[in-house]
Amino acid sequence: MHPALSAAIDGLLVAGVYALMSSGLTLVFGVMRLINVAQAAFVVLGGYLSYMLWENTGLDPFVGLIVTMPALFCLGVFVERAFISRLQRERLLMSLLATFALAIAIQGLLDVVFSTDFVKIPVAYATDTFAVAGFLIPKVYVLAFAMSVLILTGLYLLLHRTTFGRTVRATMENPLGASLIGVDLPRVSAIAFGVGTALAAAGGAALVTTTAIHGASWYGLVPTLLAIVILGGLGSISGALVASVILLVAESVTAAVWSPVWATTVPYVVLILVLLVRPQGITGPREVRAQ
Amino acid sequence: VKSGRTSWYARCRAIAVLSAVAAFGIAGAGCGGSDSNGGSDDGGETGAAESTDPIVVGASLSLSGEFSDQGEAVKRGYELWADHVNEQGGLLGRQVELKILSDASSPEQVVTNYEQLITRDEVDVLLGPFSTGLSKPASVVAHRHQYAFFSGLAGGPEIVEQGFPEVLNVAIDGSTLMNGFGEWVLAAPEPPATAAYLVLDNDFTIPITESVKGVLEGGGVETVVDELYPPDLSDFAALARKASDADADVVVLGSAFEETIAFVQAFVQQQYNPKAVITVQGPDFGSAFAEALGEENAAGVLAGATWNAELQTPGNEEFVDLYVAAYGGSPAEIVDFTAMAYSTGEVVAQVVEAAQSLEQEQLIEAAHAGEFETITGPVKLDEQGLNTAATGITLQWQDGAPAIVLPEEFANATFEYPKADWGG
Repeated sequence: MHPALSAAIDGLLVAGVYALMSSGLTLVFGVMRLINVAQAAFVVLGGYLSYMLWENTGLDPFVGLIVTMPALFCLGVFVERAFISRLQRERLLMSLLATFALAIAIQGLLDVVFSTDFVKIPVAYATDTFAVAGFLIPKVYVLAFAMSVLILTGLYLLLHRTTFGRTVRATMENPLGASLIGVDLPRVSAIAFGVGTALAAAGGAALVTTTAIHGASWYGLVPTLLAIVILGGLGSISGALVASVILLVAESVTAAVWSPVWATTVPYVVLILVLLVRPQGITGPREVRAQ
Repeated sequence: VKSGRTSWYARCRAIAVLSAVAAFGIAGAGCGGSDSNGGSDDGGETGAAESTDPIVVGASLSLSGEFSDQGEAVKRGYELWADHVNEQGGLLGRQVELKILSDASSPEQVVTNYEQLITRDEVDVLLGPFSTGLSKPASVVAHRHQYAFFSGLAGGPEIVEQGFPEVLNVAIDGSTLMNGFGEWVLAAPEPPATAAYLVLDNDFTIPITESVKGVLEGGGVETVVDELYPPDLSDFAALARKASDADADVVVLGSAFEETIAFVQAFVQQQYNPKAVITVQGPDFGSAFAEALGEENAAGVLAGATWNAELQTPGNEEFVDLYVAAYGGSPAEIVDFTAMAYSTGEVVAQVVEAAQSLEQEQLIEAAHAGEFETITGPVKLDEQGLNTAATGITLQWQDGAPAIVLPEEFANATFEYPKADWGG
């Protein structure tokens, strides 16, 4: 198989993990117009919760989502009510500071509880592969990608097929108008933030199954997650998936065909080029207009 | 040291900081500022032995930011050393008190902190921060104030290449960490014919891998893959595939811990079984390594390292006991940064006792003149401040623990080469 094609497949599979991690970030921005830097720390926290469940009960991290996603949903609602909703002025700037502080607090908590050692869940299928046309495909990434598509589809249906989803989309499109027609903005914001945080739990489960993490791992995730959200279009769930694929495939192909030195640069060049043509991102406003 | 995430922009920032330090120094000189190179008010040229005030030992550590985990490990080492010294009666009959500032992993803050430690806090002894990238700007500050700079966490060559007499780099010369491995496999019954190098673009990892590459190429081993990669790479499978497609006999990883895990996992997935895989960070992280990969895939992986709990060096067993008593867990969980920090303290203690003074000039002189024993091995500093006495060790994951396989005088297990296939 040509190195570029095999690298593209590698990148595509990893993209599923990043789509999960970034989807909550874009949802929160769409509804609340704030950048939740702590999303990356929530992802790491979700990874640790999955690890804790696996270590104590042997529960598979993907099955464990039935516990970790509701847990982080509740945490997200609490955080929104306790901290985010209290930001009245300069919300965008203050949210950056507040969520950055929150991320540091989460890291500190993880360091105290779990120490600063790396953790990873060595599930039996982490190194299992199956061959397609002679190409060995890791099962764990296929599982993570499938879960990503499943959860993001569920989120899409939630937003487009339910009354709650309509209120969320109305809020995303026009918060003032939504409040005038009776949408309970504080409630919608709290639930949206909770859903975003729950999505971080799913991303964390995929991350800790494929990568060794520790409390400070969130630092390295922030630039990539922000790039995905911007490229996909702020507030666009489907855009997050598409942008993840574009950026991760670009990175892998660059590493394989050209040089790894440029592997993390080329995706940002792609980001700039796309934004020159579509400043709103790949799918962001179109999705909103369609609502 | 094994910072793992230093990048080109971090180096640019470091250059900017160095420029700022230089400008600050010129401005300071212009204002007639004077250096306080005698330490705190009580710890100067005279009276060091008479005072009963604590000896203040200052350091800046990365207690937040991207090196916060490593910073915490170093802090443990410094604190264990200080507690141990105090239990033994202190230095020069005085207790040791640590003054630790947090630099948030920032070169700019490191400079500010060492300025504060020297000019405002007037500490008696300076210990270095974590990583080569942060130690370099810190050493510039120490040099300007003519303060002895005891650095134990800067394995890269840059800090000693500055030629500052104040730099006392206790750390093992990082560039030699894998050379013993290279020389050994060349003499093995089935020496490798080809090698692949996958290296993080980092001040610490590049000298190590370049050095062992020189050894292997000198012995006729062909380099078939030689790739530098940037920090924060998301997908390691594509890069791992380069080594597996080339079917290199030996893989040399200049990678941080989590990257080593990603590479080995990718090798297993790609069913690629080299004769040897050696890394900068992996088995030396103890039980976390096998927990991340599974015992069957951790087995046989090698690491060039500075320290191990089983190392038969003076005081090492006592250090391990102190650590476990203070923090719990098992010896396999002790991070080598903690040991390196502790050994830096050990050198400080021996230098202070040799100098019988806290005067900086005498500390520098005594540090260059003496030979010292530490838990990470012997220390003998040359005129550049490079530790020429220490040699690294080679660890190999065997039977659920990192075994010392090289050098032979420290070995507690036989080098398994070629390693068994993944999965046992």
